[in-house]
Amino acid sequence: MATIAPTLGQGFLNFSWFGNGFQGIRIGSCSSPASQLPGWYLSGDYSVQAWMAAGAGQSVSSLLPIAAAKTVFIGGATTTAAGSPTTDASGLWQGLVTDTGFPRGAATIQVRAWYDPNHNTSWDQALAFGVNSGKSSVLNITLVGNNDPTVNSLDTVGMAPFNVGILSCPEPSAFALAGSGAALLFFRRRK
Amino acid sequence: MDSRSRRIQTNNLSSGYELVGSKQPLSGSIVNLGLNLYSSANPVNQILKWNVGAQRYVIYTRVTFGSGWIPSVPIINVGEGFLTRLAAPYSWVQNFTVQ
Repeated sequence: MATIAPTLGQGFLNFSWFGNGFQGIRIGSCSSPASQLPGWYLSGDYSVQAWMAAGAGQSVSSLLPIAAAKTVFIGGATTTAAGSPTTDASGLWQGLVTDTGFPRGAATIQVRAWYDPNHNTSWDQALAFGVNSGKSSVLNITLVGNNDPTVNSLDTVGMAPFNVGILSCPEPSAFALAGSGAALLFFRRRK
Repeated sequence: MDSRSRRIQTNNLSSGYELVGSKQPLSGSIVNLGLNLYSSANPVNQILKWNVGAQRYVIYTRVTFGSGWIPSVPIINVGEGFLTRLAAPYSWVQNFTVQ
């Protein structure tokens, strides 16, 4: 089985994001689990991972998950609206200075987060299970050597916050249409 | 007669990155060594220690809750250097008393 052995030429990043001190990753309008409400900041029951490709400006379809650049959000489970980036670092994460396996220099990165209470599922499984998931915009990052203290993080490349939710979120109009249909059926049966 | 010798030493740290160490031969948490950094938003105040075994930096970030540091309060050994990454200059004042 092929493995990637660290060499001096490999590129590192600091897989952390502190949201400029006040921003964080939050739950969007449709949530699974439903007990987690829109606007709440994510905590330790969510995993977050970097998807990357060598070179700047690569397409989303070329990005690969980086096993070493995977961690969980700071804190315990996402159970209340009380958590925030400024009170307990909810919505943020601090990973390690990580060997990406790609060479030093320009790379493309996207961050993906998903509900993973036991920290044993992948992004693809989260999509299949229909639980909360979300991803950042695609960014360029410069990877440096292992001994470079100026190693880039998601903060230094300007990652903006994003929301997580379920992909098959019904539009409000779909709810209204379904409600109208149910009402129509009800009245027809009464006649 | 008071035989103790007291001395105050100040390490003026710059904003951005700086390679520093305690001016006094002490070990312990940076809080006990007098380096009481405040938390900052952008950039966050951090300390970087070189991990010899892993051959990479371990980054400690100052926060406003818990122990005040993520992942833990940095521990500095005697004579050990480390990097500070600060949003603004900071004066690290150490009082040293010899009994």
